[in-house]
Amino acid sequence: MKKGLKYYSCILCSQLMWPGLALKWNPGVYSFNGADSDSPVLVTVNYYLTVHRVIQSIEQQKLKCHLLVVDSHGINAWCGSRGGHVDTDSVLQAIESSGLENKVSHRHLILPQLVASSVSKSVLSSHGWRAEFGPVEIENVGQFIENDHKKTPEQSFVTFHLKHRLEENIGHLVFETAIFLIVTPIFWLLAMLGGPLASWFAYWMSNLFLIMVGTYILGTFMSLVDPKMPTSSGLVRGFITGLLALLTWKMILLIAYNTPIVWLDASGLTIMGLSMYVGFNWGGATPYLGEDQMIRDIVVGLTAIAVLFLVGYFFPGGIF
Amino acid sequence: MIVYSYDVCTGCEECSKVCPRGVWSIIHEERKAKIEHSDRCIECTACEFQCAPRAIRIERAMIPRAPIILRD
Repeated sequence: MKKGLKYYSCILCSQLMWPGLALKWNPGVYSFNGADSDSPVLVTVNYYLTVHRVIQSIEQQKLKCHLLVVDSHGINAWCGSRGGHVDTDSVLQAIESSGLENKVSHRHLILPQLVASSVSKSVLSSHGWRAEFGPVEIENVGQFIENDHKKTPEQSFVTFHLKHRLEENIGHLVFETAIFLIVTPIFWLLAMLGGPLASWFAYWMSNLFLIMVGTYILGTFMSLVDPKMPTSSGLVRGFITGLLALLTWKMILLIAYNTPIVWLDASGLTIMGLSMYVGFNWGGATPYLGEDQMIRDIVVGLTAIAVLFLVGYFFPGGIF
Repeated sequence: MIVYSYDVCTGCEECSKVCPRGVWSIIHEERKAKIEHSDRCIECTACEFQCAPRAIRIERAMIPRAPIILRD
């Protein structure tokens, strides 16, 4: 299936999207590989990237099936379900508006597992539709159907393979670039207040290229070593990555320029601050953190960054 | 934080089928669910929503807490 502008926009802007800007697929019923009235009905949500990948996988697996695309306001299944963008009513509405009843002789739906936080099988059943949750990954649906609609425990688990992580990282690079474009004018305005804010802006501007490249490297490193990290907390991952980056940076300065090591000077504090920021941001893209865990990471992370700023203010020559 | 009523559970296995993080397992001899990996829970509430006898409750807690298992 051809990947067009919308497909790549979804990947590039995955971290920038909010409901109003989400790229959508038209809801309705789509049939594949000569599906007839007895063919199974798969259900998905109408985020463009989700539907594209589901169709791609259906074609690869040569599944003879119907696909019911439910309106989730362009949000993916997991976020849409937990965030209230798709629920049982959305599924019932899609069934009614698509005329699914006239296309199939059975009343059986295979739902994506990740909408289980908001789609009720019993309510669907009371409307005459017997529903079940399929595997998490669409690639396993063919096997699920062949295996008498049973899935292995592994097929119920969310995975976060290297390909997914690198894609997430691309979204993060775009997001971080956007943040740089937003915060730089803010720092410029704050610099007008003078004092440490003016010197911070001067430091920021003179090292902006290095800071941006450093941020991209930190994020990419975190996406590559993700499974090796000893914790699920994004903030702690950022802290660990920051320590490694700090060590590397100071060694480069020592070996290449013979610069004496002061660990927490302006560059050291900036590396630690950026790494923790990238860390808690990255944590939100992984499937390991819940909402409350993310809030904890963000609150502690922003506090830590403020403390680093104060350390830089009170110890301009650096400490340690 | 997971609050699980052992006596209410009917062992229907729905929680283990919908949990994307492998938190739940089933003790087939007892026909009951078991919290296998509470540390993996991301409070997505899928198990709570799908639990027909209402044996599972997911409570929001800013400070992480161990799961509570209720027995008569």
